Amino acid sequence: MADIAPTKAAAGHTVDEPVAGDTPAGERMVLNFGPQHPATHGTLRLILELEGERVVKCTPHIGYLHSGFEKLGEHHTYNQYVTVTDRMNYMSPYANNLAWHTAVEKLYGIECTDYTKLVRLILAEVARLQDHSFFIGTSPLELGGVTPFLWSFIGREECYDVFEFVTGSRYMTSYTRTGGLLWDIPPDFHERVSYVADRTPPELKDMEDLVLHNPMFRSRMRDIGIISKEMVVDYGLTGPIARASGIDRDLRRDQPYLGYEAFDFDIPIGTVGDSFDRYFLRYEEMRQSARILKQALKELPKKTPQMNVDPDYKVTLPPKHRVYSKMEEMIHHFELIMPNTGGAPPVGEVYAANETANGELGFYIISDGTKFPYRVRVRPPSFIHFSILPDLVEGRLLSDVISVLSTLNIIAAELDR
Amino acid sequence: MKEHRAEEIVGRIRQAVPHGVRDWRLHRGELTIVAERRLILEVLRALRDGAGLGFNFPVDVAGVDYLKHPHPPFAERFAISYHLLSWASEERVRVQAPVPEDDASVPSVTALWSLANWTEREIYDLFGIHFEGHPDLRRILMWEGFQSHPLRKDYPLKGLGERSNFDRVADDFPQAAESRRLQTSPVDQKLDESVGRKLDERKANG
Repeated sequence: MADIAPTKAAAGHTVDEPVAGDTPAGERMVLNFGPQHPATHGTLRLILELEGERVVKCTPHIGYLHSGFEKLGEHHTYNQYVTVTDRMNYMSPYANNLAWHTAVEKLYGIECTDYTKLVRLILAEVARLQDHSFFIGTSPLELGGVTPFLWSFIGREECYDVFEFVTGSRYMTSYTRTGGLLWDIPPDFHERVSYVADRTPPELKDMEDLVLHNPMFRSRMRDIGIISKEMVVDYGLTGPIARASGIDRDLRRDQPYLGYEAFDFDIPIGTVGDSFDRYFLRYEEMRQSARILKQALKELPKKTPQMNVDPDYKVTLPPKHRVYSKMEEMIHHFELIMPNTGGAPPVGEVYAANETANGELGFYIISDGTKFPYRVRVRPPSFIHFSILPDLVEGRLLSDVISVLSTLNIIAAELDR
Repeated sequence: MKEHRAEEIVGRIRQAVPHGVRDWRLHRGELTIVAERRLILEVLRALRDGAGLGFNFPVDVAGVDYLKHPHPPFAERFAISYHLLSWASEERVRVQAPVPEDDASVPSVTALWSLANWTEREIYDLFGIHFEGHPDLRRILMWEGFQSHPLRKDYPLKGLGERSNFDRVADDFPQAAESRRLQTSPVDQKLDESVGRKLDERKANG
């Protein structure tokens, strides 16, 4: 045994430190990470300058998926643009629909019925579960663990089933309309959603047993990519990333919309602000979402099932079956759909934001009094979160880049828009 | 936000930065302060640090082109909209800095919040507005070498032909050009030859 060389740790290195002498001093290796790397969640690219295994400089290059969504917004009507919002954060398309129409309704100055609000709230929480269940599966996948990915997609499929059943589309939901919804919820909505709400906590328990005590996972997540409270404010971070750093902020509680103030739920916050916190915080958020869903489903039968706040159909679209059979509704439909007719919002500008799974998703709309927005600006959480990456990975090891990138949950379509 | 609170906020900024605020308006309960662009840094700092204000959290920086707006709020063509949020009072405020077309530049606010780094780069990219003092002002969404600014109102939705006139990289990779010549149709071959001739001319001219 005596002639075995001492391990690195015994020789005074910590595991974290690269072995000196891998590269001659001052000589840097440039590594292109992406745009087609399996750990990049789509097309984003990092140019990493390495000294040995240590990242000296990280330069993100984005724009590979830039599709001009903000420009497109100027050429779609307020109801048409909802189909474009689906394509932003495609992990929870419904949350984008909702954020868009929250801003549009503020611009029009209308408020939905209690029933519509409640349906929207339930689906928003299902969308949060859908987004988070994708996240909790893909983060370990990027570190090399395939099983959590396969398990979490079972829960994600159930969320998709709800959306398929309600909207007719699994992925691109486009369910909200100005002042209402595309159509009413189907008869066994209650059973489907409560199935999701009931299954979530035991599924999360299984996942947690699989991941939480895995030494590989812990060593790659603990104390990696620590974000301080000052950095949260400096970079404008929101959502689970801010909360993992101990910032007690959630728009659902702080600036309630859709009637969130009536529900009892906790807002988990982290203590360290590392990748580990950002990962496991989402588990607790999913449990809280399931809690909100159970309460909301109890409330739903108490509301009068009235979707439309606007009985004259001056702003909201009349239901299709009435358009085809009633004269008045036909006229209103025509007025609302054809250009240069009624149904335009007043001149003005609004900003409205929702707490989506990834953080504060806001829309800034400028109206010139026509049916087409004059300017649409998205406040995309992924874009704002991604700019912190160089600060987190410079000076760290190459393998930490994957861990930090995965827990920032960057969705490329929202990043580039 | 109520009107008296808006007046209070504007009054406090006017006290801190005497010539900073040009105008303000309230629409749908949202306060928009129109600030002079040369003093934008001071106005935003007053909003962040001033007593009774405390708009500590940067939400977004957005560009606007008012070229075709029928009722623009001011005479300048562009504007930068800064959205701020106060964690203490849960109020939001929007500060607009009008930017004229002939001198399209604004002081960068990256010194106040790092959030402005990428958002200002995006405005530089899509609107062509220059940010003075920005540490790393490069295009971010469009590629290097792109000439136009797509979110300007005089840029057409279908583009200016950038898609069809994309630069070929044949001179860097002669083997690739050769293999394409072997695979492509006669029409494309002719096209390739003309491109090749142009490249040869360019090389001959140095």
